Amino acid sequence: MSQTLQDEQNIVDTLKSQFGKKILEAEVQQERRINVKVADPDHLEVLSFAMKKWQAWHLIAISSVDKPDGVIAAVYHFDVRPPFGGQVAISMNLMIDCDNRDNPKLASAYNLINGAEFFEREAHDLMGIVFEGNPNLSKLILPDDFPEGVYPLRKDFLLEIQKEELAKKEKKKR
Amino acid sequence: MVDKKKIKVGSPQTGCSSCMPNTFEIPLGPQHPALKEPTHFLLEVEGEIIVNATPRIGYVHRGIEKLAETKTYSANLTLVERVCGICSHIHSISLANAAEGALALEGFEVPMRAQYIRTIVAELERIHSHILWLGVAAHEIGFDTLFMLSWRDRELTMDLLEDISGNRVNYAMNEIGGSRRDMNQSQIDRMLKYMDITIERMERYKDICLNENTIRMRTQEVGILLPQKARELCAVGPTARASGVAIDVRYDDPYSAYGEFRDIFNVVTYDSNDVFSLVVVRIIETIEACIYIKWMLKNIPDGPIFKKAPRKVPEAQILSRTEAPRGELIHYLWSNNTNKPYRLKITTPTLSNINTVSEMMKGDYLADSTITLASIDPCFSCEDRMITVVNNDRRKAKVETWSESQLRKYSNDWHTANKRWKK
Repeated sequence: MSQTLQDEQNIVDTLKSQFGKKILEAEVQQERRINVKVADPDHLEVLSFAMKKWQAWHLIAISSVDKPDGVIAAVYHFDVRPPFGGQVAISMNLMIDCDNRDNPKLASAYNLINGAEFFEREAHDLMGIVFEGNPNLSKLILPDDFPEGVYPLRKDFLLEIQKEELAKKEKKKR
Repeated sequence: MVDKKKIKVGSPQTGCSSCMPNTFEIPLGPQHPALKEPTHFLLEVEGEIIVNATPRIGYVHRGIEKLAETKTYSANLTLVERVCGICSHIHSISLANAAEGALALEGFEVPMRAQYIRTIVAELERIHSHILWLGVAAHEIGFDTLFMLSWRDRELTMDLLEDISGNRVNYAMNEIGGSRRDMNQSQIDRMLKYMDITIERMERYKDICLNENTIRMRTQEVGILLPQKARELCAVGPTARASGVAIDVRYDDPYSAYGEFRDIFNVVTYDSNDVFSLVVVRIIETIEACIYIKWMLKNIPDGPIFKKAPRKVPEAQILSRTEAPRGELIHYLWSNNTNKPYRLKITTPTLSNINTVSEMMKGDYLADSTITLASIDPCFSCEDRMITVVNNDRRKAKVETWSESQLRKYSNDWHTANKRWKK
């Protein structure tokens, strides 16, 4: 097992030696998957470093999460070592926490990879993260008349079915 | 002749503020000529040439990601299959892989026979999706003979899928921990026979597409997407491969049974970078898919198809990558040691590819916009996924199952009763 994960471990070590304390957490999760966590503007440095060193051109997706501790985070998924000459790809989940729940802000990766625009707009619509530097953060998925400041994927937005469940639980307690 | 005054159509929210003089804006959609699904493109045209295109999506937003947080994993497999009608199976593979990936951290393993069955169904799905697209594309360019012939041949695959799973769409083959249905020898024999016929038919369509002027004249040098742009705009799947960018998750990051035949796997690319290239890539991929199915059917191992998985999935953050017929599909699962996901993020290939359509349309004629849009095989149900319609009376809903003979009888009766309809 340890031998097969050598490539992944090398990437983590290179990142650690390059960025030092800027890398808050870094681990090899399993085969072909690396989890890294950094603070706000540093993710752009990690991305551009990976683009130079390993030609990491393939941004897979950008996810947004309302974490259990109430922090809103974005996760950039990209091939840190893209497939080349029959090799398998190694993909990285690069997590960045927003420091503020009421007005979460992150630096946009639009200038590095233009394709990030739509992924970031989706995260802005549904989770309310403002990506500074994205040229167009207008509504993409939600309807134009959807109320401002309501973000459906946050945990404090409850569906009817969730409200019913909560009410049932409270009844049982009584 | 209209004078050189800028005329603005379109809603003020989507209107373009920096239009060049001498251009018009034409809103295309949500209901529009290219597709059955709703989407909106604001085209800026100069004469007949498209200068710019701005997409607006979200017309089929159903709240699936949010809804997934309220359901158990097993119920979620049923839910995510409804994300899309055509690439339904791949969504459930993706979620099952994510949950099993989290369980694998504690040593859980899925039986190999189940992985083979999943992969076979996924490849059958790719065949029917690609042939469906070929028909739609042929229809868009006015070549309706090919449309009808290709859809006739698609029925072979649909019959196989119905034979294995009992359904023509939403096959419900997966369960966390394995497959729900096995295959017997007669089904395998029938599949081998039908795959040979499909290969033969697709070889014929390959010939037609490479040599037939109707197709070449409508698709060559239309919708150009250069490799550099495809990389910048994060194109995936056949859209990227038709621009010569060799990415395919089945090869680059093998899941299910794809690791088993990686040495015979071909990443199909073509380098003319236009819609024609997309046609060729999809047809060759269909033939390849038939070959993989035949390989898997000959090498499928014996053994159990299901292993009971624990109901609670341990805490993990799993990125599950799969290759849907349209490109790379992502399920990013946050589990929290309960029987429901904490967060399930789905990113579908159309969201990655829709940006490239704007790029492909630039510089083309307005009349070509429909085939260019159809060329990425967009699937807007997949892409939007999301506001909830809860039917409070759903438990009272009456469900009737019709057998084939009943359906046939109903159809015959209807046609006898409505004879005038034929005239």
